[in-house]
Amino acid sequence: MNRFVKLLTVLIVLPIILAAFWAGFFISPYLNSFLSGAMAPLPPFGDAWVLLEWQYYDELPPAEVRMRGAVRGMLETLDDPYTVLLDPQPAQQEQYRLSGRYGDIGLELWWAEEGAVGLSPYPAGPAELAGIAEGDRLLSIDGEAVGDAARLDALAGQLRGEIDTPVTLTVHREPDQTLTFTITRAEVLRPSVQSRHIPAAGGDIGYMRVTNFTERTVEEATEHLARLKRHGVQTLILDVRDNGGGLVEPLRRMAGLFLPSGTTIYYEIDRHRELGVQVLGQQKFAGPMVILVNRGTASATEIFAAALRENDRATIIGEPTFGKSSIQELYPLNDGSTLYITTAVWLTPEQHRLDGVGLTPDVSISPQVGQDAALQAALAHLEPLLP
Amino acid sequence: MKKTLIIVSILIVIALFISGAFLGGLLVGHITGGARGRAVTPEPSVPIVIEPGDPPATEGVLPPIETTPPITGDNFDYELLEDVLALLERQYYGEIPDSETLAHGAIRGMLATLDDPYTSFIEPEIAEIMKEDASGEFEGIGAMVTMRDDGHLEVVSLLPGQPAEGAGVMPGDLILAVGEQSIVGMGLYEAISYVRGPAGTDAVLEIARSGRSDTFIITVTRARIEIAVVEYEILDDDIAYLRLLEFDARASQRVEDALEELLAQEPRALIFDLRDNPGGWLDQAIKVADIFLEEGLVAIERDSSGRESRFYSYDGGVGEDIPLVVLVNGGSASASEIVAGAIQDRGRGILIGRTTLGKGSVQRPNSLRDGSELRVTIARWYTPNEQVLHDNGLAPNIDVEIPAPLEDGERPEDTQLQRAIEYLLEGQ
Repeated sequence: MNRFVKLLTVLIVLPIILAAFWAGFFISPYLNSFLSGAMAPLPPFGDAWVLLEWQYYDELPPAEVRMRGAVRGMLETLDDPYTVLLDPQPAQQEQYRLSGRYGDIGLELWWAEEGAVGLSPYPAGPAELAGIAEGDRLLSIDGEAVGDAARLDALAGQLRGEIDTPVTLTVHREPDQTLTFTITRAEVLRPSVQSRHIPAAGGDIGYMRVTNFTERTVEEATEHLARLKRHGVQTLILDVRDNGGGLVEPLRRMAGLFLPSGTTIYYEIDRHRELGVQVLGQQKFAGPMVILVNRGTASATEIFAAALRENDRATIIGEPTFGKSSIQELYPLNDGSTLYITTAVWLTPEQHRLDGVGLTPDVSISPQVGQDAALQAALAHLEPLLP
Repeated sequence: MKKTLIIVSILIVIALFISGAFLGGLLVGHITGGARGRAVTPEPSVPIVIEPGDPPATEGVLPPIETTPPITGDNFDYELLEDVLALLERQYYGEIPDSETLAHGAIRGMLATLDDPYTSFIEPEIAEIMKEDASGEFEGIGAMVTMRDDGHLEVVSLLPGQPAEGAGVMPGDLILAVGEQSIVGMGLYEAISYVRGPAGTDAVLEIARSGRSDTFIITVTRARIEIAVVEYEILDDDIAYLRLLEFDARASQRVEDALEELLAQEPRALIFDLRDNPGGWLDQAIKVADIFLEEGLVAIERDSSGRESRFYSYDGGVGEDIPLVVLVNGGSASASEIVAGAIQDRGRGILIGRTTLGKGSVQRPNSLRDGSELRVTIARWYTPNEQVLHDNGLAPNIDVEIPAPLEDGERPEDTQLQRAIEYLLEGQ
């Protein structure tokens, strides 16, 4: 009897225990999913995260890739193209490295007379070291003549190539020299400022091109301005075409080179306040100015151009600008990625918002093949103002 | 007294054993990933691709705010998302959408990193309606609608004999509001969710009709409506034609009923049309195949670790004897490919038309806590002869293309159907 009870107990209890084990085993992933979801900052997302790890057929991308994807998806819902997540730097650099490094010879190309391409070598770049001089006119690249209808960006592309490979240029130098240079391509840092002076009827006109606002820009620009002034330049063309913006501090100091101290250059509005922002530094140039802009002129550069115009310091010539006037702050995150958040918007000194609108030039000029029509218009505008 | 104590002790010990076993199961399940559930196969859905925008120019670099240290633990690390949310709440200039929108965006973003368009996310209101549709019937007014680009819900056609038709709704009508609720500018599924409702209730529709300057009201009493998934008829030369539009929850029953009706007229052969059939439920696919096949293998479902389930047909289906041709094209997907593949591999009939879509994966639908649905690819299908459906699709035995539509907008001749008739009459 006793034995029978024991056997019965075992027969009943054992399956129950097994069933309990199986129930636990079966419920586990659901419980896991539920708890994990509940712990996530956005619970339905937490559900999806765990279900995917639990069920997905193929190998999943690494968790950090999926998580960054999730953050990107979330940022998409904000409907702000400038609030974005960038991948960790090493990954980006790696990608850049894998895509092949390109060498250059350090030459700025510009339209001189109609159909003639002028050259400005970067200081200490391969082209300058090989003997190319400011103002040389480009005749051919690797034996291929420069045509009238050439595009500057296509020509610049021909000059670039793999590091340590040679490129041969034939140039014309005043009064009647034709020179040939073979230059080895190297890694070249493009300076953010270049300048030259352009002969005009009443004296030379200064031309300064600023490609973006970096920490070095103001220093470079100050030097170039001093050089132009030594040359006797009294009017200035400031070319900010394809300048997509940059840092705020250089913007304030750049504006300070051309505006009296204390001038307000923009208003910054964030969630808490509206703040007028003034120039920094000492004014270095007070003569008549033209600013050249195009569709690639964006963000901080648009504000810069607007500030000079609205303070009666410059005439704007070219195409309407890009139209971005929000400010992003940059936050490094723990996984090495970087988050850009739109934290504020800019208004011009006259309280215009440029988002989606851009600046309308005082003189509208569309780009033309074989010449720099906007530059010609700028020269035509400034020449009567020469003393 | 002493005996009671002993019994109580024994019971406590047993209870401890049971809960111990349960917790043990939880632990083992947690470590191994747990048991896998039964799979079903919904129709393919549109992949959602989210492209990251171009990196912006930087304005204003501020020192980073303190972020929380990583939480350690296998599945519970949402640090990056938490940090970004906290930063947005503190710093973002614009308005932040509600947390549901953010969560859905995050899910879509996560899925975009997978290379699988079939692992997909479906918003709650759409999931609701798709679930209803997949069941084979719904409660509503019986109108086919589409959302126009200008945000108006347009009636495309009316199901014959259903409430909308009876109440005087006409094709081309625009439904502007249901009751007090304007539906202009809503998404299609959101708008449909207002039109549908329990059978017997009234849908008060505000209608705009071309040719009338003012809008007017039509009241439709909703009813339970079956979605017609089969079309069938006897063609010339005593050939039966049966088309299945999708594999909803009643597909096999509908096919069987239709087939019995057709067979009663003693046709010499059957054309089974699976063209543009996007698929549906896996169990329905197996049952439909079983109607035409004697005992044998129908399909194999295999996961990445090689674990497989085999699905079989059995003797006794109503369509096992009649000569058979299956029409397929690039719109035949998923469950359609399983049925067509089994019929082809088992030598039961030939396929005529174009190569099928090649959706040979199995998705498992999961409900998330907010009612949305996550479909996760859990396995792949193989035909009885181990043809890989995924990406490849099924090649037809006789390849026939439909000519391009004629210039006057008339539908081109159905050359695939004609070829099938020719094959059945001439045997080649």
